[in-house]
Formats: sequence, structure tokens, C-alpha cells
Amino acid sequence: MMWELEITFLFILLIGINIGLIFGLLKYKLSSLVLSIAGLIDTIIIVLLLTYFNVGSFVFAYEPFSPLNPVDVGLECIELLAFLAIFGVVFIARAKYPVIGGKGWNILLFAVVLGSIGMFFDIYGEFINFISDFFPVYKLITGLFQIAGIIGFTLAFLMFYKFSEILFTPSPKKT
Amino acid sequence: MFLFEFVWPPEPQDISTFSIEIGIFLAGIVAGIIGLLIWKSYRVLAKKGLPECVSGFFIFGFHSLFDALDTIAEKPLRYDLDFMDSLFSIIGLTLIALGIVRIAFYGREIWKEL
Repeated sequence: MMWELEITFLFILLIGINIGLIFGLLKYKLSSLVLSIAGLIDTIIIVLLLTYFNVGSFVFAYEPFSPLNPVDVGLECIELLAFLAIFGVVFIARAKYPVIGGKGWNILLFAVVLGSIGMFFDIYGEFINFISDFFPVYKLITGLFQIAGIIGFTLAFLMFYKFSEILFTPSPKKT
Repeated sequence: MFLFEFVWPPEPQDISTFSIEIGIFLAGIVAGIIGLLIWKSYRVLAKKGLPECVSGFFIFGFHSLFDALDTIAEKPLRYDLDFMDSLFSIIGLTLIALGIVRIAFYGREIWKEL
């Protein structure tokens, strides 16, 4: 009974957010920050719904908080916050100093989002008991997001410095 | 077979997890090395910010090494390795964030200088 209420509430929230988003996109110019936050909330809702509907298949049991290690989860939450802080820093820096923006900076933003999703799945795994056959798949998903994030970071720095070499190289000091 | 406090070779069910985590470690190290090459190629431009990011990449890479080791470790050591994994990850990410802030400030600084 409780589950049905939660699932109904999540569905209403998912539909409401996306209708609002479509309306906002058509009527107003939404900032990428709003879009990113909406994307993150959508992801969380979809993952929760997938969990509810898969108890008995890839999810062994939905018993959050039962075998939870608070130190472990706390540290992982700090890691996620660190990722979100990097996102904030990259975003604010570009808004404040548009001169640094470009393809490299956009890839950097994308890499941080990928890393954050990987970190979110890492925390999610602490709350869920997966069946042993699915556990390697779950690890592969989390790992791939982290590897994609690292590759994105590297690519972003390569492009940023290549592009900035011409734009930013300081003029030689006058003697 | 036990190698110090580790089970080696890993149990069949741990092989995939162990391999993925070692893969992340290698990706972090390669990213760090590429960062060092960028640092070498753009000496003036990468003077501020990139060194912190490169250190962050290496430290973040090592977080995954601890993660891989805790998969094959015995119980008491597993908790310590798990803690080190989180700690290295937080330090690495903080350094990357700090590096990005410094890159942004330095970018503005040299843009004004032009």
C-alpha cells in the first residue's frame, strides 16, 4: 500500500517536472543550470521507479537503511557534494568570466555531470541489495561513468589549453 | 591463496569488479600523465591551476586502487581500505575543484593583461 503511494507520487512528480520543463522551454529561455537540476531530479526519480519495479529481478530486496554503514555512506555523499561543487565552480566561473568558455569548458561541465551520475549510482548501491548476478553489471555501470568522467576531464583540458594558447598567451613583458 | 591480507588470484565473482576498479585507476593515472604533458607543452598558460588538477587526477586514480584492493582484501583490512578509498577520492576532487578555480582566475588575469 505504502509502495503504491510512493510510486504514484513519483509518477506525478516526474510528469509535473517534465510538463513544467517543456512549458518553460517553449515559453521562456531556461538557463542550463535549471535544465541540469531538472535532469538530475529526473534521473533520481527514474532510478527509484526502476528499483521499485525490479524488486525480485535484479534488486534482491528493497530494504534501505538496514545494513547501512553511516561512515561509508557519509564519505560517499561528501564525494558527490565535491563533484557538485566542481560543477558549481565550472558553471559560475564561465558565467563570471565568459572569456574562458568554449568547447573545452563545455566538455568539462559534461564530464562533471557524468562523474556525478557515477557517484550517485555508487551511493545508490549502498542502499540496495542487488542479486549476485547483477552486481558486476552494476559495478560496470558505475565504473564506466567514472572512466567516462576522467576521459572527459582529460579531453576538456587538452581542448581548453589548445584553444587558449592563441587566445591567452600573455604578451612578453616590456623591458 | 592468500597474499599478505589479500586473496590472490581474486575469487571468480570478484574478477569483474576488480578489473573495472583497476581500469578506473589506470584511467586516472593516464589522465594525470596527459595533464603533465599539457603542463610541459603550455608552460606559461598552465602555470596556475593545472598542477592542482594533475595532482587531483593522480590522487583520484589511487582512490580506485584502494577500491580494487578492498575487493580482494580480508575483512579488517577491507574497512581501512574502504576508508582510504573515500578519503583519496575527496582529496582528489577537492584539488581538481581548487585547480579549476585557479584556472578561471588566471584566465581572467592574463586576459586583462593582453
